[in-house]
Amino acid sequence: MRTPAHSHVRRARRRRAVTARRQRYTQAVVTTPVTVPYVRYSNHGAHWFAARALAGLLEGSGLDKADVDGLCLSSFTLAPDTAVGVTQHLGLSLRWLDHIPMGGAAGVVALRRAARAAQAGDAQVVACVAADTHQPDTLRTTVAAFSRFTQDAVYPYGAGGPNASFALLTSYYMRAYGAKREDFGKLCIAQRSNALSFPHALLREPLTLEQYLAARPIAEPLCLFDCVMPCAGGEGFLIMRPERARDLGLKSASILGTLERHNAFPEDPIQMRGGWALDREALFAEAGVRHEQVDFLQTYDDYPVISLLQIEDLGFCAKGEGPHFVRSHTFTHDGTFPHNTSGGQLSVGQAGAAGGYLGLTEAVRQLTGTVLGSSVRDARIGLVSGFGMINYDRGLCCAATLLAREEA
Amino acid sequence: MSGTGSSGTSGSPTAPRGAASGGAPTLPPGARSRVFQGLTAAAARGRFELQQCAHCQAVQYPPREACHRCLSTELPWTLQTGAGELIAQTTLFHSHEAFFSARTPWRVGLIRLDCGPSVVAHVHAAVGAAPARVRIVARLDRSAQAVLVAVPDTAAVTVIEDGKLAEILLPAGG
Repeated sequence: MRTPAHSHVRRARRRRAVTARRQRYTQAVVTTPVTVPYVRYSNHGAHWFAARALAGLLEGSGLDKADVDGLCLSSFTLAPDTAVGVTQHLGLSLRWLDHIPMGGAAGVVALRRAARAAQAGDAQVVACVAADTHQPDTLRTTVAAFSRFTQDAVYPYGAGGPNASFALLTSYYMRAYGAKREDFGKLCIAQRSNALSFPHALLREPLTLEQYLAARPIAEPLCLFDCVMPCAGGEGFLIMRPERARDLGLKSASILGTLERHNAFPEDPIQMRGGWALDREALFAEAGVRHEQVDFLQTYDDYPVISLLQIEDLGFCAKGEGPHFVRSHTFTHDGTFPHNTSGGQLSVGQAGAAGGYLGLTEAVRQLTGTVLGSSVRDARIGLVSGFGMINYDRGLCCAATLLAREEA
Repeated sequence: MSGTGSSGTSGSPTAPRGAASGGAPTLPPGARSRVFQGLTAAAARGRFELQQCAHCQAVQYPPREACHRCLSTELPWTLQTGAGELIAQTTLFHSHEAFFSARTPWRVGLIRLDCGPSVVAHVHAAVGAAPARVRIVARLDRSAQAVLVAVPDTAAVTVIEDGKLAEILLPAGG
């Protein structure tokens, strides 16, 4: 590109630019977590699961459909529709609408956008919904046309889909930081233990280390229990101003801080860190929270290696110390580091974009005393992390939020 | 999604090579963007070319409509040595496509090219475990689209000597 004639003037202006101060999320809360029960396969469309999630939000809150004036929707299987089509499909008349195609980061991103809308008064009640169906060929068609870069430069190489991409990341991580399969297995087994009491988990058989290690290979070094099981289902929650939630008698969690970052560290040869590493300090500072105050962590866990990246990049240990961290903690709901307390996607199932909501609905349940499975004792502060969209060789969307129990 | 992962079943090991279970011949995935055709055109002539920005000289992959660094849209296809390092690899035991299901286990790697970008590539059987120095060559696969292949960093080895790889490629052009 030609250098603009007055670039020195522009650079000087940029230096003087005032950075806007971020507002806190004091005027918005998250409430009414709902789950549309997961099934391995369904003949229903994604709209069906969105409708069930919305109905669950209305039933749980006592609101009428007409009270919902904002919608935030995520889905991989809504085509040819977007959230626009869903307004007419479900008879919603809205003044605020967002479609978030960010997969595993969709839940946190929906929360932070909806919170701003509620806080500013652009919408009074925002329904945040992720819903997907799953049929035998859904995964192949989704993966084959997932993005332009995967179509040009990944799918022709064995068509392994995300299993292959995460196998590359996992093998590199093992070599670089000395992680063993047993380390990943420990996370998977703890999550399965958490899932045993969670009614929506599709996988509720106890898992032993022997079974984990002996499972058939899918994409070396990944074996069966390292890979999420795709399924159909939905998740949702409501965002509104705190006084509205109080009027409705709803239990809610407060939002202490959020982060969102896309395409962080593009020069890294392979993804060994995500956007959390750039923004975690600002997140904890905004929230006024220290790491030792966090009572549980819900990571995005389609494969266990990515949970380790989140534990490191969110600052619970240094880069590369994930394996040591795993060996020195326990991860069940009553462990030293409660993690993915409903079982995570690896045990509950991955209902498309709803996988990006799973940790958030579970966190809100833990913080509002509405747990469906096992409670983290005296949980006051939870951290939820999202990760999404392997556009080529790495996940581009990273997000996280710190949530807190509302003090009486 | 970072991943809609899969725990689906692997292709039958007894399926005839190159044929789906129904017996119809299968092909590797053939969909590519229009811009990608520059890579295929070069591969058909036996050359490995990538877009190199005419303004900031950044080499990029996958192919784009603009330079990822300076946003220039002048992106001439430029011959590359293909020198790089295999930094991660996997062996697939499951594929979403019948063409590859019939050929598992299948080796795939991520290669950091000396010229900058990281590329996903088929990996020649003679390439050692990561990390390993390799050379990337561009060839046409049986869908007549370019694919990248990592071969050992020694001049003597050609793709054809790996029978399994040779089977998915068209005869070398050039």
